[in-house]
Amino acid sequence: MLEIKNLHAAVDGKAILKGVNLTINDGEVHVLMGPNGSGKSTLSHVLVGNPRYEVTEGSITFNGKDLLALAPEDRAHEGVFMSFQAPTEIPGVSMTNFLRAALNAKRKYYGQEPLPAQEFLRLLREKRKLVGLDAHFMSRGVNEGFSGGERKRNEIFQMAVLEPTFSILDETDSGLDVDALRTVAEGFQSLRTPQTSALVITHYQRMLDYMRPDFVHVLADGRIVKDGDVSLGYEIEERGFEWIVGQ
Amino acid sequence: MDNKDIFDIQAGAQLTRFVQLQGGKDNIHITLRTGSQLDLYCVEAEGGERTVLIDLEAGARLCLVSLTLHEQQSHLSLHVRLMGEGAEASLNGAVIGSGHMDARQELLVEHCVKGCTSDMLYKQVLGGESTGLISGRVLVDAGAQKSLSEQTFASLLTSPMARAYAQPQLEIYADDVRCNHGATVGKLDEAALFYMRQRGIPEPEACLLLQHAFVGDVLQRVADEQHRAKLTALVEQRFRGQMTMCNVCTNKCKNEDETRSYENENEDEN
Ligand SMILES: Nc1ncnc2c1ncn2[C@@H]1O[C@H](COP(=O)(O)OP(=O)(O)OP(=O)(O)O)[C@@H](O)[C@H]1O
Ligand SMILES: [Mg+2]
Repeated sequence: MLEIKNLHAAVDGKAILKGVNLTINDGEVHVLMGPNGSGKSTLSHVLVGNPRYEVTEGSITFNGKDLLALAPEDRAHEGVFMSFQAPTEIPGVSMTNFLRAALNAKRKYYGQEPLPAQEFLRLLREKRKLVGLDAHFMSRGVNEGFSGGERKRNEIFQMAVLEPTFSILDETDSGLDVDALRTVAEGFQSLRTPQTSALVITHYQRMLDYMRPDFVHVLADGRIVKDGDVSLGYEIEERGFEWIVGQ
Repeated sequence: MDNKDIFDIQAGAQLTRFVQLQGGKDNIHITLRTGSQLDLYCVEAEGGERTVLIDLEAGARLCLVSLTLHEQQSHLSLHVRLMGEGAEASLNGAVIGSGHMDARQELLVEHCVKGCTSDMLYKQVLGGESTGLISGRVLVDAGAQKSLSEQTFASLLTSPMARAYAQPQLEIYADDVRCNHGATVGKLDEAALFYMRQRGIPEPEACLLLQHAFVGDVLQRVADEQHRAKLTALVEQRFRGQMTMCNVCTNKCKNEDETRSYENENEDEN
């Protein structure tokens, strides 16, 4: 379970989050909507501990632990994953080496031996199939020269490999073509268990259809200003944000 | 007078050689006769004073890949003379500095006749209070028309106390030539580091992967697969601070092959 209380955060000295409260229970999918620049990605980056963002007030607990006290890598080991809105290119570090390092670091955190090479490759193959990612991507640099849609597919592939318990999907739908979105969304749904939860950021109704969220929240100017169920999402699709956030 | 080691690569011969340079002074003169080919992989395992002269006759090809892996002071002066038409020299190096390493390399490639090619690719990863200096000069003599030359120098500083100097220079006395050069100095990519940490890769390991990737294209210049694997492992051990002379030693003994390398495992197509 994730519990965000009165969270304030700044980037480069500018206050962006101004008192966010949000609780996400195991098994739940929450959708976060909100105008451009309202702070959705900022909230995501704060959750995963990006050092560029400074938390000035408030708390985040995750399964009883003080998330803010943990290094980004330890948050990952504790089960937090973020699909980046703009995934980073890492030229020269192959997908295979990257994922091997990530997976083995997690195993080490839990006192396990590195995964034997054959099992590791089998795991990659299985997860690639789940999201429809071609084998040749594995020997390429991480996101190196990947198209926008390929990067998003790659994010969900990594999620499938790392099996987080809490996932943030920051506009994973944008950049994916209709077929790719269906594949990726089905992949996501197949990974769900009663123990996993997600925070899904989107601007589009199609994503609501696929995610079948339990709750929808609206973030405006660094605060959650409205909560509802999926019908709130559909209403926003029709009417925009103005009726909620005012002029 | 120092002793000079003289090597003569016979016309048409093809050789691959691995050498490790220990402390002290070296003075080497290699001649590549017509149409011969030398792949020379060279590890500076200790500081020292090195003077290397390599002459290439017509159609000869040289590929040099040097790794500077010590934590001491070294000075290398490399002079390559392209003396016969169609000679090609590819000079590549990776410098990995930490502590008080001070590595200086002066590279001079002389295009003496027409139709020769030279290519320099040098990468430095400098941490601690290390200094890395690369001065690369390409000299195209009058009459050396149709010369092609590339110089690429890139430095990565991983500590605020490290210093990189990389100067490509061109001196051209012919008019029909194509010469490019570029030099960059940068720091580790924060966004890439964070992306890796988000996936659970601890920061030191993430830095290591980025540094290794940075010098990756130099290692790619090692054509021979076995040597490439060996040099790659050396670089990795150096980054991990685990390199001992034992790793560099070419005598086969039991300590070999304990290390895992970052070479890709191939994923079989189903
Ligand atoms: N380094 C920075 N300095 C100043 N302001 C910044 C900086 N980084 C982000 N911001 C601002 O913070 C605000 C929130 O940005 P954020 O990326 O969280 O928005 P978002 O809700 O994800 O928007 P979108 O829907 O467009 O993705 C924006 O106004 C943005 O310009
Ligand atoms: Mg955003």
